[in-house]
Amino acid sequence: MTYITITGDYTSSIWFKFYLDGYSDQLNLSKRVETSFSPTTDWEKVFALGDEINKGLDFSERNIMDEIASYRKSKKKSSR
Amino acid sequence: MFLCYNIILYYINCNRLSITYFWLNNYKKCIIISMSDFILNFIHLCDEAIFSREGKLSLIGIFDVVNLVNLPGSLVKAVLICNFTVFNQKINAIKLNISITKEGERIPIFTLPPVNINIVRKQNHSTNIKDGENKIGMSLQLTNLPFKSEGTYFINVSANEELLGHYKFNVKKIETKKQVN
Repeated sequence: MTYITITGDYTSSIWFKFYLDGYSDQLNLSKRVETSFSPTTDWEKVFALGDEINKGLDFSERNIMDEIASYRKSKKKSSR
Repeated sequence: MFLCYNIILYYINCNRLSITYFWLNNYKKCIIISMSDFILNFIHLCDEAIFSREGKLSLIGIFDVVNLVNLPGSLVKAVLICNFTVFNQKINAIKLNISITKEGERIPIFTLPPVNINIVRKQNHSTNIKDGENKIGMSLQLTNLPFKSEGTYFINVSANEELLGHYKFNVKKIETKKQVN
């Protein structure tokens, strides 16, 4: 069973955090995803950047919806 | 005699002694007192345990009742938190055994593989901590704990074959009302 040791200035205990085997990989994976989104992320900036990219590509929400609808239609036709 | 009585009471209060009574041939009651290496500080079962960067522990959703829709059923996720003090300075390795038993039954319904801990002695400069004491904490994620029936269950935690303590909890079946549309 894998474990990590946790100590700190605010605890007099030595903590052992155990992971059940088989779960450790899954936990590491979820950690990696978590760390890519920092709690201090300025989401307004991220959304503004997204809008800029969409403008540059000449994309809007309406365009995306239309593209999905046309893709679905073409798929239906091909299945017939 | 009074002093001796007080000392015995103090040790019993500290829960550091295991006391054994037995009868001698001449019917005199005898008490054997042996010092325990560990003392349990606390044990909890909760939904989530989070350690901050400073090492502070946050427990979220402490519970002692498991409500299941179906029986036999299983508890999808829980975290077992246990903290104990090690008095014996010579102990460098601890083997923790965790099992779950149902009240009135000897055979555990679930036994976790033994957990081995190697202690690295921490130098405590704080005045609150007595010399010769080491506090050990354990956080363990439990998944898919199987329960066959309702009742009272115990999570038993043993360190080096010495029972530290047990956590009592109940398993109940939720009655869901059938709705006809």
